[in-house]
Amino acid sequence: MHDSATLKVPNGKLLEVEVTYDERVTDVRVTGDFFLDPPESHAALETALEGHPTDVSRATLVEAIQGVDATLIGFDAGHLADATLEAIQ
Amino acid sequence: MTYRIIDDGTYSEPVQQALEGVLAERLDEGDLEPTLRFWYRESPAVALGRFQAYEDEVAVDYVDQRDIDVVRRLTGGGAMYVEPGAVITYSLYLPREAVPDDIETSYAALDQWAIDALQSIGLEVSHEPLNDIAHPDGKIGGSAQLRKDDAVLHHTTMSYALDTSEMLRVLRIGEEKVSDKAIESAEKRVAVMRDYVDASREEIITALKDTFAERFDAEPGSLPNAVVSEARARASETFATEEWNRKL
Repeated sequence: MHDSATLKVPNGKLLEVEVTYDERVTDVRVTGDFFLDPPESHAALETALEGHPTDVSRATLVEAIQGVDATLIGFDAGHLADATLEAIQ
Repeated sequence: MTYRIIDDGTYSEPVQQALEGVLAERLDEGDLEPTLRFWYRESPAVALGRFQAYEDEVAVDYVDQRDIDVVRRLTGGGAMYVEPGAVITYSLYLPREAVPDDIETSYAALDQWAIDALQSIGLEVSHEPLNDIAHPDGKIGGSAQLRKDDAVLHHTTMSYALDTSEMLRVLRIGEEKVSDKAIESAEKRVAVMRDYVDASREEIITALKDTFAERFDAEPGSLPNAVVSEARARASETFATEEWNRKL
C-alpha cells in the first residue's frame, strides 16, 4: 500500500510524508519546504521512520526521529510523527 | 574582519547553485574571506528547496515547454521562480563564529542590514520569522541557510519586478486544483519592490552595498577563476542533472 499525508505546521513549514507499507512500513519519503541541519541527515530521518509495524505508537516514532543527529527547522519530531501516522492510517 | 563584495559575473542557475557549495566549502576550509555576493542570472529559472518534491512544486509540462531550468538548491526552504533583472539575490558566506547559533536569531540578524537598506529607500519591509522579508502587502523575499563546521551560507532572494502571473504558471501554487481564492492569496503573498519604489534594480543593489559597507569593513572583490571553474564542473556533474534536480 502507498499513501501520503500533508501537514502544514502552524507558524512553520510544510511536511509531506509518503509511505509504502504492508504489515510494516517499508519505505518513507519526507518532502517539503523545511530545513535540516545538516541537510545530509534527510536520509537518516527517512530511515528512522521505516521498519515499524503499521500500528506503531506516536511515542516510538518520536523517539526514532529524535535519535537522528539533526536539527529540525520549521517542524519538530511530533509533527513528523503525526504526518507519518496520518499517512499510514 | 574584512568582507569582499562581489558584484559581477552572470551565470546559469546550475552554476549559481554550484557556486554556493564551492564558496561555502572554501570559507569552511579557510580559503575564502567573508564575502557578500550579488547574483546575475542568464534566464528564468526555478530554485527548488533541497527537500521539495519536484512534481509537487513545478508545473512540469510548462517548464519543459519553456525550457525553464529547475535547479535543486543545497539549502532547504521553498521554491522560488526567478527572472534575470526581476529579482535580487545575494549570498553571504561567513565564518560560523560571526553568526548567532540560534537559527531564528541568525536569520533575523543576517538580513537586518538589507532590511535597513530597503527601508532607507522608502520600502516598508520587515523581517518575518522564520526566513521571510515581508511588506504589508505580501512577501518580498526569503532566505535560506546552510551550515558547515566553520562556515555559514545565507542567501536571500527578493522580488524586484517579478512577473507574478508567470510565476503562477511555473509553480504549482497557480494550478487549477488550487481554488481561485487560493490563487488570489498566493498572488497576494508576493509583493514586488517596483510597485512601491521608483528605483532601478541597479539603484537598489547600490543601496544594499552602501548600507553593507557602512556597517561592515568591506572591499570590492571578484570570484577567483578556480572557483568559477570548479562550480562549472559541479554544475555539469550535479546541478544540471535530473539525478539531482528530480531526486525527490
